[in-house]
Amino acid sequence: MIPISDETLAQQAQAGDMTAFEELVFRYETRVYRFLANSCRNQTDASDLCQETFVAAFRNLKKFDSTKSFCTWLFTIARRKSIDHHRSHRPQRGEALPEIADTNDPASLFARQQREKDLWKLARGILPGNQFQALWLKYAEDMTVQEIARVMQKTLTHIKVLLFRARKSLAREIEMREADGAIVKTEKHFLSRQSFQT
Amino acid sequence: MNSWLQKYKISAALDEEKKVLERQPKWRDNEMQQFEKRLRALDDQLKSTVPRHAMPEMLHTEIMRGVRATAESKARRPVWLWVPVPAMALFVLVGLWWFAQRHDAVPLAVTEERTTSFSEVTVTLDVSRQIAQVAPAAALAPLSQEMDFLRDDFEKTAAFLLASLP
Repeated sequence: MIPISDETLAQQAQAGDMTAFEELVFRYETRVYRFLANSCRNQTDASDLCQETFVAAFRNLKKFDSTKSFCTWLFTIARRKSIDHHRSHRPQRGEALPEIADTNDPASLFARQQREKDLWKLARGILPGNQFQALWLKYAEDMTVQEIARVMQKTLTHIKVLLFRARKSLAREIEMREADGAIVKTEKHFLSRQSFQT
Repeated sequence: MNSWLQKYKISAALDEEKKVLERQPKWRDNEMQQFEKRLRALDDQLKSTVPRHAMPEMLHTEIMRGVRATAESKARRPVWLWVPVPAMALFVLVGLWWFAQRHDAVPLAVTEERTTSFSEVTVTLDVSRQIAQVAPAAALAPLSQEMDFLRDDFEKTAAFLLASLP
């Protein structure tokens, strides 16, 4: 059985089929939530924004052009919601981004989550909002540059430059941390040797 | 600048899943190779370590509650939306009716006004005619009396002078 495309479901929802819209919510709620959770400061805000995104999508469903991708249209709304949220809740200078709590954390997944968190946490901490969003849409949402450009309403070149800067900054940061780690390791080794000799 | 452009091309090639160095042998210098290697490693790491935050359990219910509330308000809204339209139409009709009524009443008023003004004009003309008849006599009456006195004085003076002549 061929699954119904998002655009067909959106057309059905435009005709007033609530079940079709609920199916779209099922398909996208987790992805939209994750996207917003990484842009927001806490889970509650992310949940509220996620709800607002779907409500806005439902309200403006008549404006959706079914010849275009529903996914990019929905993420455009989500991104706008996140921008509006940032404007009204501007973080204080130097305030650290809080951890996003994970409700599913069995012990077996702990180590993997730590590894995953480190790189993305680093990205979230050091990259400007635009660069992080472009990176997220590229890797977490597996979008093409064209799709990211549509979601972020920017040119292809602009998105490529954003991704380039994000990668460069991350690579440099990792390199610096690795160098710091190597220095710390050498110092520890030196100290242990000294204590052994004494 | 050249180095920046080369690095940018390496990054852009990652977006298109291409290998730049194979196509660009002139970039086979150590720095660019190192840069591509680092970016590829980062690319793989970013792909494989995407955090999978679990969604709050009640979120779907909350989303659908919000959507249903919007749908209900949408269903109710047309009634409110259409109320001003008939009200406006009614207002326009009443306005037109009132204007028509006023328009019909205007000729009567004009006739009355015209009648009034004709009678006033007639009275004015009559009065002016009467004034024209009475005014000269009334205005010249004191003067003619003075002339009579003057004439009388002349006559007396003339009589005195004639009487005093030898």
